[in-house]
Amino acid sequence: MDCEQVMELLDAYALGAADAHEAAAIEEHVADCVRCWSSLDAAQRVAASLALSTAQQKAPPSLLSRVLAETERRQRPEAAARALAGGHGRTGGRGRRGARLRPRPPG
Amino acid sequence: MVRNRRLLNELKSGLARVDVLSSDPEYRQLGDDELMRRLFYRDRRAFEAIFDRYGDLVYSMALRVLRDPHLAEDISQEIFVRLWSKPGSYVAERGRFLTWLISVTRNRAVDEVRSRGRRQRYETASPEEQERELPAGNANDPALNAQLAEEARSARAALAGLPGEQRQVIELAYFGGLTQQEISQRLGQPLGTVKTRIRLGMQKLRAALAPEMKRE
Repeated sequence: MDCEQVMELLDAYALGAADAHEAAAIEEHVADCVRCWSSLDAAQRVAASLALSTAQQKAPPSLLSRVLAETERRQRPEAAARALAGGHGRTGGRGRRGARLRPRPPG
Repeated sequence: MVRNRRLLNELKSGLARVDVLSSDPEYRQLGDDELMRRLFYRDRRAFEAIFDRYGDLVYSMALRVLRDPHLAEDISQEIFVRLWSKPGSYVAERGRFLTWLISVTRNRAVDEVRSRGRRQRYETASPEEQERELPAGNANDPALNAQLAEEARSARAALAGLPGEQRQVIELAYFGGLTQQEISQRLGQPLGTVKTRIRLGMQKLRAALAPEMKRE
């Protein structure tokens, strides 16, 4: 896929509307093309602004307590491992459900 | 750590209100990238500040896609727990933290819709919903709230300025999680027409939001 073809599809990709085949080709291309990567970044910022256009709701109070409890639970084994290793500071912090977080189009 | 344990105990005993998280004032001054950097060192106050800043936004985005408060809460929890577990997933050089966080949330919510096979009929938000003002992320950070409210107003105005058919395909793609092909089938419109509407709509949004983008 060349730059012109990628540019044609960038907006759809940023919206998550490119199909899996197109998405894979775009990702391969922008990995090596600064110009197209920059255009994709701009398109993704426009797409993200759509989220701000939606009505904002207050998160339920239980969300915060659930998040704090879960992160606390995950931190305990890390602290124990650090103590056992006699290490300090940064840890790997692998979570049980630690999956990638990089934005990607739906497949 | 100790502070967090105390908060948890207070939550359990009903002494603390959890709907307003009073993040550390010192941390409220820090930018998103600095807060994320501190997560590498397991800084819980940095994490709380991020939640305080964007908890409502993440939940709102998940709710808009999923249309189910319980699922939206589950997905929001997952997003924040992953943020804590894998702070390295965000690479500052690749773009703005807020853009990344919204994309992650949107993509995870769409994945959930797809995995459940819930091809629910997507409906655009009512005008009342669209016009509702941001109650703003949190009461502790007026400057951030003002900035997000301004961005929200600009985004709403830009979206409202699109011709209806362009707005429709963009919302079906972004919030409905549909591919161009699926939108074409849903609307009974040729694929080429859908592609053109998306491109034209995004061009107009880009032009309308250019001043906001420059300020970022």
